[in-house]
Amino acid sequence: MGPVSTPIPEAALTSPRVLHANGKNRSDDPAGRVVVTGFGVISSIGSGRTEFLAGLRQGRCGAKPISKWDVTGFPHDHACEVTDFDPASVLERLDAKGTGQVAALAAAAARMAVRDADLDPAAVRDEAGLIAVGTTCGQSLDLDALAEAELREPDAVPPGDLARLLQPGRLATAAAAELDLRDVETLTIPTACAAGNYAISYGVDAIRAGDAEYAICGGADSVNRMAFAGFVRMGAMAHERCRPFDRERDGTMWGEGAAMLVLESLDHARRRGAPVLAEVLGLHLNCDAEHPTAPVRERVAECMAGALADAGIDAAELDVIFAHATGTRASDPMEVGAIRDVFGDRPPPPVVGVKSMIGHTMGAVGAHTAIAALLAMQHRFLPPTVNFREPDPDCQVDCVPNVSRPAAVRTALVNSLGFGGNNATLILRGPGPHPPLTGADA
Amino acid sequence: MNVVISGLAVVSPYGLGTAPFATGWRAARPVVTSPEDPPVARLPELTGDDFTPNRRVRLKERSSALAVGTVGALLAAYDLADVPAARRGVVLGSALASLDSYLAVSGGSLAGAKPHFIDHNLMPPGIMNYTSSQAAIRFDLRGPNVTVTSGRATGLTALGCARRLVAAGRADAVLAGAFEALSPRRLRLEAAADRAPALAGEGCCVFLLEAAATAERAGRRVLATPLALTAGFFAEPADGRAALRGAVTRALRQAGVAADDVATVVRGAAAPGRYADDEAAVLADVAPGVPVLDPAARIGDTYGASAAFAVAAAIVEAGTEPPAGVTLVTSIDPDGQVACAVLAPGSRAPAAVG
Repeated sequence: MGPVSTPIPEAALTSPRVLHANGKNRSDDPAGRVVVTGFGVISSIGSGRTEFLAGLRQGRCGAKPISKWDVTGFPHDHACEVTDFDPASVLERLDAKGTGQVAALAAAAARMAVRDADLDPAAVRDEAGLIAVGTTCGQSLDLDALAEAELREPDAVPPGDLARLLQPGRLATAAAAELDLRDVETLTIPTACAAGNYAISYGVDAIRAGDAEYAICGGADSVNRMAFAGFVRMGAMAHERCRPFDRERDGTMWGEGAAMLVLESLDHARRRGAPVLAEVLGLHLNCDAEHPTAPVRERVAECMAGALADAGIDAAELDVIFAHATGTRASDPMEVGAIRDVFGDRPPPPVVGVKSMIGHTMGAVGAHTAIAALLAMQHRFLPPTVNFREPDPDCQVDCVPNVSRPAAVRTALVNSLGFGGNNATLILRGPGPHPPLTGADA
Repeated sequence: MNVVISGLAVVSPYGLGTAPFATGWRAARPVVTSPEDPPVARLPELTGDDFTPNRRVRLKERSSALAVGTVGALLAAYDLADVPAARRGVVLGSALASLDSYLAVSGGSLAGAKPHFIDHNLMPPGIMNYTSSQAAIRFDLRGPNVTVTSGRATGLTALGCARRLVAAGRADAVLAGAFEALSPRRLRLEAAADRAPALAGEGCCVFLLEAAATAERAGRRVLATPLALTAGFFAEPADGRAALRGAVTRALRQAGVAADDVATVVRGAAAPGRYADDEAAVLADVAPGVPVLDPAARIGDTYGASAAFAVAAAIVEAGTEPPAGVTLVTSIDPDGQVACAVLAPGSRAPAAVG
């Protein structure tokens, strides 16, 4: 299951204003430019490159009643669970059962990513590497199991096998153990629902600084009792479907899975002859510093504008915006407003909400969405915003309603906004101009 | 760009603030331990959730209260008026993060009359970036806001992340640190995992990182300069020693110093146990005869904050009697994370370090 992309032509990679850690302009230095060469994806609409692509193209929706734990008593019970993927089917070294369920997803996605990038871990074992896994709830399903055990016996000492699984840092160490890497920094980034983009950003900066030759970054989370009960309590959970930008949207819907990307310097990718899927052209990270759950439009606009400036491109160059688009009453109009702030009088490009399909996969969602952007570039289409019925005057964007659309996608913006006012924006640029469509591609 | 540590705030079982920590540390005074079994070293003034070192902080969770309070203490001690809010970043982390609050919500859902009849005030602290985002909200820190966790190495990870944010131009000043609180559940889990330290402690250290030029312009004294920060991983317990040795070797090489230049070592492993033995063996081999300081022996084991406390101890040591060479800080976690820092004392930081 090797990569099928065509390499980016030399001239197609525009030179961003990349300032290296040493302060020297690295725009002509392939070591300072970070590219994506592969990914692993586990989601409710399909796992693995082929199935996830099919899910995005067909506009599948992963929403269904929660089946993995007892939802008795909740007023509604839908989420985008992953019910057809077993991490053991891809793990080569780890025992999924002894790893913890979310860590096993992270490790499986990391394994799928290195296969997709045609990167043999043994070949880079002596190089400095990085594994960064974003998450909102860490080893949530095992924590829920501990909560049940404590309910039966409040102060009981839990079994050692469970007690050793609970640290959120284990999401990253599980991936390192699966790939048998040693000279590798491992960390988990629990920056809530912006964590996936934060993890990718961490990898970009580590590579640009020369601290890592390659980085395997993304996120993992599972639908869990804590987040579900909390959001039902807050009235923020959709009853049956997540409908970003729709007039009748009634909340977000949790999704689950993992998404990991292989990042490396352009130089490193060239040395090993790896096809390049896209370049991480720019990014920006900021914090509202105002309210834990009410995002601030001005800060979100600043985050997008900052990423464009970091990439050294104009907003008009964007072919698509992958919005955070949770489907909550308040968040969608705020984000659409922020997009309009960035574009001024000019019309923004299509604004897609993939959470309508895969659910809000929390700390993984930035990485899931970045992968959707890579596939959109490679296969020349815009994924849809599904479950869309009626436009909302407060969210007037072309959200590619319900049906994917053929389109040349070269430059994409990916927004990830998290609890606590954390914002993270990535700008990705794929190859272009495109080769003619082939039969397999069309 | 030469990124330096130009600020420090500590809360520890020695007391609330950097001064009690420095005094207690220099006197090598044992902390007052509570008469509990197992013994613990608690923050003396932090009872319940109130924490008022300089500014009042009241949060739903003890670990967040002590961490946000420490951030407040740092900002009270160092005037950052020269740095715009959007250029002030935060990197905080712990090993267990919001485990207690997560379980309060999950357990509340299981025990309640309806599964969604939970105390909604408990939900935000159950999300692991609560502490970092609360620090931003309370003190108007609008730059990058990162939460990191890598077990015992979290403090060094936070320093590395902050250093990169400054070097990459994403922030002008970053408040970076690590924290861990005592809780009955933490003690139970450590015992269950067969990782109970001789004495469990708690606390938080927050450092100010910025470019040397920024510190100089603002008149902030450089406390230390990280010359190298390295990390590694081992999957099998038997490989821990080699992994730590690799991280130390790489750190010395990156710092451009020889083993002879190491004047002080501050170790981070929890004792007793095989990893403390591994760490001792590596240090005896790499830096024979160099004094090894052990924060856990004085303030108790602070788990996710342990590496941060090792850095704070290095700074306090250098402040009294600056060593001729560099300080080595090591960390090793049973989950496989190893990390190492080489710190130059502030006053003698090399002019330009990559």
